[in-house]
Amino acid sequence: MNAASISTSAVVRDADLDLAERHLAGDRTAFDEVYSRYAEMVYNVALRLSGNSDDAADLCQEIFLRIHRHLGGFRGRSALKTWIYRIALNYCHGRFSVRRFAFLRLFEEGEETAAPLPDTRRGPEDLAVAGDEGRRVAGALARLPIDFRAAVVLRDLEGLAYEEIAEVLRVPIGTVRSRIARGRDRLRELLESHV
Amino acid sequence: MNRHLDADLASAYLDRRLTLPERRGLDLHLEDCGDCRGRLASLRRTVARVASLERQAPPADLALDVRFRIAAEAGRGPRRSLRSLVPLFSLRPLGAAIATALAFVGVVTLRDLELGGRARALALRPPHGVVSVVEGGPTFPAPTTSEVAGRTFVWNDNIWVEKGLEGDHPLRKVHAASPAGRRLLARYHDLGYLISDGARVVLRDRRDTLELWSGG
Repeated sequence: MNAASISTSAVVRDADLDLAERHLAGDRTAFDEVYSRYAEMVYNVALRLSGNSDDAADLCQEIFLRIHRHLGGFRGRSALKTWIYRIALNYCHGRFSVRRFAFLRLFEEGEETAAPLPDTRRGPEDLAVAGDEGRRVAGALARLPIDFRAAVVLRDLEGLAYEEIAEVLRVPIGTVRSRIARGRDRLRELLESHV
Repeated sequence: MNRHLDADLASAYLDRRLTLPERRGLDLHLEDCGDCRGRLASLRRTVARVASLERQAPPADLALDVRFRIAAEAGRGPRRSLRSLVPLFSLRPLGAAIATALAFVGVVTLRDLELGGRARALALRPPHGVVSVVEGGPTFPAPTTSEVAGRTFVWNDNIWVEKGLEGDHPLRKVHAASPAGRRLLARYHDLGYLISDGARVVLRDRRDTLELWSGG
């Protein structure tokens, strides 16, 4: 890590801590800022972990409720983004383990009912094909065991580095590597078998 | 390297997680092994397909729903929720309608209590037909009225009283989650705006004066 990136991350960390302190002091705009910054990220993680938009919206509510509860206790030991990912993943994991509602859909195709972010570069036909393809891939993703799914979502959709994923999931790097590899391999089998 | 690709190795190769000697060894192996080349290409396609999943915008009402949950929790103490009133997974349509309604009053209440009117990052728009008017300066509590379900309600010491019913004694109390309360909310669902933070509402229903509440 060079001096510039260290300096940038220190600035980010300070800004994150500032948000937490403002929230703790009762400044309601602090949480609004957190919501504005991370709503899209949290929603997409919840969507890909749950496999459908209704559950994703419900999960999001719960996740942001927890963020609101605990934001004042954020101490900056990780980036706020990592902390929020962790809350989201912990909540989703617990939810799936307890209620197992996602597993009801293990053998169904995933939904794509929410509005995608607009892509002005593509025409209607492209978008229709992309929709079918999206449903197929999301359906396969939803059939992965939750640990593999979480690792693949964080790596291939959210673009996190292995080290960041290890921090979010609180597991060793070797475990991250193994979960990503197995998750991808299972996905490959599922998708290739549908060709 | 004379080892065939397994899942770990292939994935690590794609993510450039191999050491330089490992990578060079694998490249040499790939030159001679069609099976491994095929497997790697297949995995590469899979990763690309996952990465190309479109990101979705959160639902427009999610911010309101979140606000509702926060306001509801603030009104009821820590770690308590309105789940009995708004079951998230079982009665979703009713829950969503009430949640949206209740969220707004939470927002209005939060905004009205806020001193100085700081700009809000969330663009939360009030639903049509609901107007909250705060009179007087920001540092003192002031009379607040709301137009809900075609009626005017006046804020009075933690109770919204329908205009004209001041001084009336409610014939009975109706909990929002009870069958009668649900019927009331279904008939005048905007009332949910008024009770989200634990406030009560005194209103006329047919010929009776009722008190609607949502406390635990």
